[in-house]
Amino acid sequence: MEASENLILKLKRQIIEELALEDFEPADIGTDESLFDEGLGLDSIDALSLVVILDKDYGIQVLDPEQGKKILYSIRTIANYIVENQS
Amino acid sequence: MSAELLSAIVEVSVRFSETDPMGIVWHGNYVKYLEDGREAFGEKYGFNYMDVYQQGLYAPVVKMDFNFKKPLMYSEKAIVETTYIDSPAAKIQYTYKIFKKSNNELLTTASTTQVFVNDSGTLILTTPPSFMEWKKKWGIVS
Repeated sequence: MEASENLILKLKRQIIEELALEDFEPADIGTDESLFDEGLGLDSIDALSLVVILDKDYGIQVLDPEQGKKILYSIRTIANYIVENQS
Repeated sequence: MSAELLSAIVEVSVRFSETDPMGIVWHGNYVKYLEDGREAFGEKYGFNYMDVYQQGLYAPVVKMDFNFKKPLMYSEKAIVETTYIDSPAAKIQYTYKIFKKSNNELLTTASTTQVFVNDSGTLILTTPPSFMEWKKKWGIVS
């Protein structure tokens, strides 16, 4: 099942708030673009905050670093993982 | 989260070798003062990096920020106040205030962030159990 646009928008808002991305609007974050490096430019410390969002707000724990890289790649990969794993 | 922040203070003496030709502490040496602060904090609150190492983990400093307001001179003594700032993320954050001992003037503020990595250098995504236990012990998390 594909993630809804509502979930995608909610995630973008949560990331902007959690990471205090001042001057950012949800529309500024591409749903499919990399959140790291050449994309939005987040770093590994930011990734730890994304892990907290998944845990606190969606009850999903990401423990494996390799898996984490794939899940946290973009807004869409995060949203799809939530849809697939939320009970 | 506990209303009271955990903090520790330690006194440092400025060595001649730490000053520049102007007789003030060279900025790079403040990094060591912060480490003195973290060591004092660890001693006071039983937060020992060797415990972390024994679990095959390391806690490197990955971010450091300084605001140098006023200089510290040779032969002066300073007080480093180190405060733990909690985060639900798998990181250790401290803020620091460095005061001149003689008049309690605030000279420098700073902050550091450490993360956890394993012995292969891979970032640990969630707070290690031992660190969570330490947070519970001090009432930082319930």
